[in-house]
Amino acid sequence: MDDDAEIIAEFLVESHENLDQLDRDLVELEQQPGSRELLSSIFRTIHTIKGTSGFLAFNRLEELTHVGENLLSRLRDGERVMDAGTTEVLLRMVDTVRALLDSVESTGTDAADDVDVETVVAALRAVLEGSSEAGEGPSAEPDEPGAAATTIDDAPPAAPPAEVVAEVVPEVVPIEPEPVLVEPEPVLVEPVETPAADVPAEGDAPEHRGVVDSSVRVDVDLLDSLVQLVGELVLTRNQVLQRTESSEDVELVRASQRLDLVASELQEGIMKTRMQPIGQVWSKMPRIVRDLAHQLGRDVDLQMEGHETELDRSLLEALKGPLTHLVRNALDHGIETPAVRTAAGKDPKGRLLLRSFHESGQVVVEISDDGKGIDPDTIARVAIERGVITRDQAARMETREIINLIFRPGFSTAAEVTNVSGRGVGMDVVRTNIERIGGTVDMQSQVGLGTTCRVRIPLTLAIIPALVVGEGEERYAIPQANLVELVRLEGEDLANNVEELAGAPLLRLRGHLLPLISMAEVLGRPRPDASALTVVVVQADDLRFGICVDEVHDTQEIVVKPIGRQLKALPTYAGATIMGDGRVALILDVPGIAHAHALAQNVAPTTRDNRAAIDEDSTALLVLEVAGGRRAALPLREVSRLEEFPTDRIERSGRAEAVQYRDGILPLVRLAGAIGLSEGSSEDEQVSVVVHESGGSRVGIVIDRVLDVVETTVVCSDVGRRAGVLGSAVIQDRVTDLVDLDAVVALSGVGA
Amino acid sequence: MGEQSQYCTFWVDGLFFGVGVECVQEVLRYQQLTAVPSAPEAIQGLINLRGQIVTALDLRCRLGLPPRADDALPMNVIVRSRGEVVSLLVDDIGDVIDTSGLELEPAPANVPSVVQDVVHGVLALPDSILLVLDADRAADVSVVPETTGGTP
Repeated sequence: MDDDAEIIAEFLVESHENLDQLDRDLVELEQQPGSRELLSSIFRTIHTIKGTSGFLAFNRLEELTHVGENLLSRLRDGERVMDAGTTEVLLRMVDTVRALLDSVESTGTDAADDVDVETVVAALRAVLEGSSEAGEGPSAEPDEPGAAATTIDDAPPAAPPAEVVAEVVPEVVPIEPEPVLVEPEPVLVEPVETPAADVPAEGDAPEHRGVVDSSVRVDVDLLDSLVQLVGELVLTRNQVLQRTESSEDVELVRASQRLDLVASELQEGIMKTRMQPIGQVWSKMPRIVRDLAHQLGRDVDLQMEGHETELDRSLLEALKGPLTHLVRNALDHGIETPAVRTAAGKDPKGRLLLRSFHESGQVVVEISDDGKGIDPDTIARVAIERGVITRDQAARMETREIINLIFRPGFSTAAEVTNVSGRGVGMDVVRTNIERIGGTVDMQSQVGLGTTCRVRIPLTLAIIPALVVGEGEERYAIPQANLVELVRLEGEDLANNVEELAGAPLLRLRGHLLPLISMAEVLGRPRPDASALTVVVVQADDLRFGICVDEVHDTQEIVVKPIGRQLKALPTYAGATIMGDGRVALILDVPGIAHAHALAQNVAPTTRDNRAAIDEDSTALLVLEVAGGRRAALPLREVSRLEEFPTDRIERSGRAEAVQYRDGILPLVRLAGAIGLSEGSSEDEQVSVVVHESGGSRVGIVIDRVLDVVETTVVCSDVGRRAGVLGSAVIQDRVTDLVDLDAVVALSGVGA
Repeated sequence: MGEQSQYCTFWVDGLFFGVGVECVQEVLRYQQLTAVPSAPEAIQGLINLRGQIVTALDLRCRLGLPPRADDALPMNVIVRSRGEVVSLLVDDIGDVIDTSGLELEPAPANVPSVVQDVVHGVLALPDSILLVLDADRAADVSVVPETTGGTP
């Protein structure tokens, strides 16, 4: 119902404007009766109204405009010549159309008895059939010419300038037309209409503003420039605030606070003008779903929630494509055919739910179906086949990560892959488009139960909240949308929770390993040593990682400004902004950084191999602590992973220790014992394990902790050579045992 | 291009350059710069030009000339180029000169190619030679793809 009401409201606004135009055109036509151009314009207007009224089942309106259109087409094609009589009857038609539209606005139908459509239709027919007795009409209805004349006189000044109407028509739509329409307060209409049947029902005008009066069409360019200006204002306000903070002039402080308030409200208001309900996009969905369901032999019940959720019009525009795509996918690959559903014990009618709502400054759109879901195993298999990820990576990934692989470009480009995988035609395009507008997309699925796709988008792009961090002399802004949390690590925490793997620092955060990257590295400088770390944990796509920064300033609303073409290709920056002190600060592009530093991709192993090949003499060693303070090292290339297991997960089989790991058994070897040292007291609740893989089997080597990764040329001495130890070397100025990995692994052979 | 005859002139390491006045927006003294790490070398940073972010490009670096002395602050010649505004950092600003009657000649062949690439040609003034800068080409600096850790 709301949908209809909205469409009708749009129709009314549009038609009223068209009619104003029509009045002007008709009058002008009298001056230059031969003008083909004017006739065409009039014809188009009537044609449009006819089409829409037919669509909305306003039959009387359709009939009237249909006859009018016929007459106009003759005129346009030069089969008839315009004369006073014809003009007269056409103007009557316009008036009647207007009356019918008013009736639609106040009662919701065009069936009002008081509008005399039949007489006008007859008059039009009469003219049409060549009995050029055009005078017939006016004489039959003596009031009519008067009414027409009034319209002619009144309409032009009241109407907006013609060019504005023409340019803007498809873009802007009144935002809240419903209240006027749905409950039109018919009280006033009834008494008025009986005495003056032919006068357009103007009676209700003073009571409340009609659809036409309550909204104004504004050029989108104007809105955009207002947004720009308010952005400037916000910046200036920030600068003023910063200056006045320390001021002793009370009046000035007060005025600047007022400025702060007003600017904020103004910003909010301006932003609202660009907001449009998502219902606009959704209104197209029922049709798409119906057609597709029909085409694919699906039975689908489409439900939509949150039509009124508003977002910036440019975002809405950009969202149309991806959303349509996701809906198509849900139907094509999610919801099964009725037969399959029945066999699976489900309701033969599939359910597709579109939901949208606001959540922490973002708009969330959910598309969920109760179809067959996505099988992570299939996805993983296909992804490995396509070389999107390695088998190793697949084993390490969480189900959610695997499902989101369908958004990877390599995954979805090949048609045969999508047939196997179930979903994914152009899913990378969907993601790219959503990311382009600063959004994220995430897919969750349960096999047999359905799939939910969550799209998050910022409310607006022009002004975003961001965390300002400092690095060196400069400040950088990290969009709040990417921000997860801030972690400060000092002293012991730093040593315990940050470790390096193949030279890559990792942060252990509540049981997860987060890749760390320092701002210095992001900016292409060497990574500094630090006694304390401030980590900004950020999220890009499905990847979470930490950026180590020098300082954290505060969160601010910043205005995103484009940067020049020379810098657009840099993946690190999303734009720039101006800080309170007037200086420029760069905005970091978090997904860009993730990609540029290969955090998100499977590039790491290859680069590591390359490095090994280039630098043959030096070896990367993982330096460990064992047996309560003794140092040992093993070649990093032999380490596939660092793990941490709770002590109570260690199980025993005979004398061997093992943990369940990745659907298998990981035999454990205690390094201290293996290299002839006494084991330290293991009161810890966790054990640190270096996972070594060779020839398809894995061994876990239990150590105390990882100390470092060093790249060094090893000079091995025989000092300390014994079972499990090749010898020793000086690493980082300390004598370190070099572990004979083969011998140590052999010790685990018992359980295999 | 049309026949232009008025040039805004400036010096870069002793070379006398001119840019058609119609593409110069303004000339500013030194502005505080925000460095852009990992940007092409010639990009000295970003300046805030009344709320607009403008890329500042050092012409010395762009033309392969030796860097400016540390204590010498560059001037900004703000030009419009390909729909954007770019600041060219130069040593010193000269007058606006009228060169009507003079013929634009191609840059002599022995001028370094990096300079040839960014000029329309030269004008032989009575007392000096004016290099007529092509602001668009001068402002075209592309990012060299990083060799480390590129995306596949």
